[in-house]
Amino acid sequence: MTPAIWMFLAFVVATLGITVWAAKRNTGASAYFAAGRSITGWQNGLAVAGDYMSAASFLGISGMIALYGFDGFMYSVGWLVAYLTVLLVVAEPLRNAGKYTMADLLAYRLSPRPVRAMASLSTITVSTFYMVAQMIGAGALVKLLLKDIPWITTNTAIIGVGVMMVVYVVFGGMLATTWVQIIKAILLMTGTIFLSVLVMKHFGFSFERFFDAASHITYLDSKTKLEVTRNFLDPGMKFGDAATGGIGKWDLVSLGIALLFGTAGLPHILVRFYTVPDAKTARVSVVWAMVIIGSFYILTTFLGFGAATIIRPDHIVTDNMAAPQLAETLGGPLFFAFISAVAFATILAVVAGLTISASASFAHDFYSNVLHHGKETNPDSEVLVARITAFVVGGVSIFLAIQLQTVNVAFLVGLAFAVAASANLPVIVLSIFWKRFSTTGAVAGLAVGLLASIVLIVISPSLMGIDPPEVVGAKRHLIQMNAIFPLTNPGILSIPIGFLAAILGSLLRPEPEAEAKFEELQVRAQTGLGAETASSH
Amino acid sequence: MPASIFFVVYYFTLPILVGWWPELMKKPVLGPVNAAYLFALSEFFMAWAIAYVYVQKAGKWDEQARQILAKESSDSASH
Repeated sequence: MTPAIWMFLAFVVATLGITVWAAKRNTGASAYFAAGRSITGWQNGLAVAGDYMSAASFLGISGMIALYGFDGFMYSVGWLVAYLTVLLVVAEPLRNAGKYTMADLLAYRLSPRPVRAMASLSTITVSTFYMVAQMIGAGALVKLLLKDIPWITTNTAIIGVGVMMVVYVVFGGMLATTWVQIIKAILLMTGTIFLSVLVMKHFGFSFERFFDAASHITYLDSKTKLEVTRNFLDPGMKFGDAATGGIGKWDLVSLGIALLFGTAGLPHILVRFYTVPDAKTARVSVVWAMVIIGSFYILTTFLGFGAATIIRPDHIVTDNMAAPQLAETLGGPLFFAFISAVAFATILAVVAGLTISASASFAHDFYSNVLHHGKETNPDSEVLVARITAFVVGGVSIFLAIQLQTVNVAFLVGLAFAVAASANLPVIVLSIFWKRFSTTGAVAGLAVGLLASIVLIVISPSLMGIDPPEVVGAKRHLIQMNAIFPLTNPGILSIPIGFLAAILGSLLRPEPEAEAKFEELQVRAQTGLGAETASSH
Repeated sequence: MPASIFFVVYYFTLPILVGWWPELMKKPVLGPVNAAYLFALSEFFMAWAIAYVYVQKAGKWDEQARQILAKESSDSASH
């Protein structure tokens, strides 16, 4: 058995152990949904960072920088600065005004049933896109790295990941998933730091030599089959006018908007703020997360440029494999196994986090509050419904991931961000800051934002295009037509549309009860009076 | 509030500069390192700086809130 397999097994055993420990401590709804609000500032910082440093960040960004140079770094910048939106606008009010889910904040002033129903739909949509993408990635990664074992196919890999994830969530709840995230974050940072050090060692610890090498990389261009020398520090290899015929810079801005506003609307990130005892801790945890994530992203430039200079872009198998290949080249098979296991752990932890936020939303928002008017259910049945939902969600996403296994995962994640930014964020922001925000506005904002972003993506070059006959299978566009909407990211249009719908809805159907409660919400959101506190056990 | 406007503007300056004035951003500034990379790097430090300032300010607001709440409850207690 290769070292990779041992590492995987060790990780699986360790996390199952955590799940068992958490299951024993999971007495009650607050424990299951919010880890008993016992997580401290730096722990939550690590957990949030862990949730964020997904496979897309680690493998995707280093891979994009390895193949396209500077433009890949733009993703990193967007993803880090986005946390300022979270910190300055959303984190504390959300923690003070809510209990388990994002919809709690919305339901504070507005009529709960329609708002919770829509919010639940939006949460589940965003989480599903994100989750299916991660599971496809996990399947491909596991299949590639454990390729010596005959019965590991993409399908079995996806099923295996899905099953493990369901076990963590159903039995371990938020407590287990939080601690898995924390451990994974530590492993990922350690691995990344070590790999970066190895890269610099290759260049004799001279930054000058490192950047100099990155400024002229000679390789075989995959499109023209000619040997070229390019400056990877230059912007423009992916989004520049030459590469995209002039539309790239608009796409870059659209992407920037989606990234900046999407994070503050991602349900699985927001739900992490309920696991700390109070708003001040929530604030501290965001800062910790920013420090960790920011350092991590700066390091990925070293990984990406390192892979480009040491391995050469034409020798990298697919862009997601740049980082593991670098690990193998510089650190041998043992380090390769470690990095791969960490990448796998990353995906698993993120998927678990997504599942728990989606199932919490269904149980708490839809089941308890919409179907049962928030009255008859006791907390224990809420937990039971959540566990069953996790099971179902796990099954559905395994199925979807197997069906969609050839779809590009970055596209799916981008979709999740665009939807979160267009549907969730306008509604959250307006609820906290605008007195005249009404239920109609919230429902309109959520529905229109959801629809606008999805429609714009369906008619975008991601899904629409006319391919010449030699392009086959997965590489063919799903809809063989010229794209109607020219940008791959809908953000620049769909986010304003979401805001507009929410504003118009409120102006057309004002709600005096909601306006009356605005000051009460303001006080509670800004001072924490009356917020849900930590449970005593 | 002004901090929020500042960071949004600072953030978008990067894709706009890089998209519309790429030749300017390609100019090497520190050895082979170009303006684009340095500006992108500065965004990280900007974000950290603003986060730090916010935490300081928020600490003060917490104190103010505490005083207001304490005053309110002692007021109502004395009625």
